[in-house]
Amino acid sequence: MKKRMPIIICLIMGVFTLIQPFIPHPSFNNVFKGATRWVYVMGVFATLIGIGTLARLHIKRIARKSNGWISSIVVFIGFFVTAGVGIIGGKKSDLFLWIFNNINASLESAMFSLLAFFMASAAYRAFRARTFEATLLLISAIVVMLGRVPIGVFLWQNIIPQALVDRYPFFPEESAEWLMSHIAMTSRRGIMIGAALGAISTSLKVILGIERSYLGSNE
Amino acid sequence: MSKLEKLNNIDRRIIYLIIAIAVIVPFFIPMGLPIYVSPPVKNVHEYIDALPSGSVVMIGFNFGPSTMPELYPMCVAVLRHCYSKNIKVIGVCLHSEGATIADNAMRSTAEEYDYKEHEDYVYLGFKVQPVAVILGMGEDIAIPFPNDYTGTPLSKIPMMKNIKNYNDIELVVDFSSGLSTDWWILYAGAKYHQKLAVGCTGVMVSGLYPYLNTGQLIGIIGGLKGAAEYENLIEQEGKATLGMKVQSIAHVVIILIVIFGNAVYILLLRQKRREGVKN
Repeated sequence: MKKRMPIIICLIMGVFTLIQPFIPHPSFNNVFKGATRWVYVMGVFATLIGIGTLARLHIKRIARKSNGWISSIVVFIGFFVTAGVGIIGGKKSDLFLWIFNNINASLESAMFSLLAFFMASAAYRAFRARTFEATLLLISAIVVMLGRVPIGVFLWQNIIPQALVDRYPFFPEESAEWLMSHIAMTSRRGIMIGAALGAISTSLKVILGIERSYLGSNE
Repeated sequence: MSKLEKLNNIDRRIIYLIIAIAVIVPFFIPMGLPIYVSPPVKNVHEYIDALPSGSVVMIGFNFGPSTMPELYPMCVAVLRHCYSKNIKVIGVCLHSEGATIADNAMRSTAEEYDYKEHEDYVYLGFKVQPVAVILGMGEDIAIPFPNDYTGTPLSKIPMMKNIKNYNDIELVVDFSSGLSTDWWILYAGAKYHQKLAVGCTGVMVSGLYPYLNTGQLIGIIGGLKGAAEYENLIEQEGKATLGMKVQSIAHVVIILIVIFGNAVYILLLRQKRREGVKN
C-alpha cells in the first residue's frame, strides 16, 4: 500500500490534469482550482524539506571538520541572520533591504560579471578554426557578436565602401538577426520538438506507473 | 619555448587586464553609436503603444541580482512606456530574489510619473511554485495572490475591482533570466490564450526565436542591446544606452583576441609542419 498509494494518486491527478481542459464543466474547474491551491501548500513543505536537507549537510561538514567547514558556518550565519531579520522586521524593513542590496545583490552581480573575463580567456584558448565546422561556428559567432552591438553598424558604415553601405546600411545587425531567426531558430526548434516528445513519453510512463524512480532509489 | 608557443599559452592575467581596460575605459569616452531597432523589439513597443489608455499590462520580474544589469534597464524602459501611456500595471514575481528588485523598479518608476499604488499599479510580490501561480492567475489572480506585496487584500484594492484573470489583461511581459518564459508560454499562452512578450538575457534570445516565429510571443527584448533599443524607442536614454558602448568595445576586443589566437594557432601549425619536414 505504501508503494501503491503514490502511484494511484499520480494516476488520478495525471489523468485529471490531462482531461480537465477539455471538459468545461464547473465541477472540474473547481477541482482544478483546489488542486492549484494544494500545490502552493506542498511548495511550502518542499521549501522546509530543502532547508532541512541543507542544514543536515552542513552540520555534518562542521561536525567532521571536513574541507571548507568554515564556509558551512558562513552558510548558517547568512541563513539565520537574513531569515531572522526578514521574519522579525518584515520584508520591507531597512535592514532586510540593506542586506539584499549591499550583500546579496553585490555578490551575485560580481560573480556574474567575472564571466566576461573567463569567457575572453577561454575564447582565446579554445575558439580555434581547427575544422570546417569550427570555422563556421567561429564566423557565425563573430557575425552575431558584431551584430548584437551598435559598433558593428558603426564600423560597417565607416569602413566599407559607400556603395555597399547605401545598399545594406545595417548589414551586421541584419545578418546577425537572420542567423538567429533562421539558422539558430530552425535547429533550436528541432531540439525542442525532440525534447517535447521525450517529455510526453516520460510523463505518460509516470502517470501509468511504468516509471517509478520518483518513489525512491530502489524502485 | 618559441615566441609563438609563448603567445599560444599567454598568461590569462594579460587577457583579464585587456578585458578590464576594455570594460572600464569606454565609460569615460563619449561615443555616438547608432542604435538600430530590431523587429522583435519594435513589435513589443508597437503593441504597447497601440493599447488604449486604462488597459492592463502584467509584468513578470523573474530574475535575480546576477542578471540585473541586463534586465533591470529593460524593465524600467517598459514601465516608463506603460506609465507614459496611462496603462495600468500589475507586477508579479516568480523568482525569490526578484521580489525586492521588482518592488524597487515599480515604485521608483511610478514616482517619476506620479502613479499611485493600488490605483494605477499593483505589485503582487513573490509566490512559490511558478507553474501553479501562472495557472492559478488564469482562473483568478486572488487564488495565488489573496494579498498584494504590502499585505492589502486584492478585494480592497481599487485597481483590482475589474481585474479577475488573464481575460482582463492585455499583455504579459515576462522579464526572465531562466525558465519562466517557457512556463508563461505553455500555461498562460497555450491554455488561456494570453498575449505574451519577453525581455531576456542576451544568451537566451536564440532559444526563444521559435516562439516568436510561431506567434506565441509578440516580441522579444533581448539583452542589454534590446533594452537600449527600447530606450531609443521611448526616447529616454538610460543605463542600457550607456552600457552599449561598454559592451560594443568589449565585443570588439574579444573578437580581436579570438582572431589573434587563431593567427597564432595557424602560424604555430605551419612552424611545426616546417620543423617536421626538416627532421
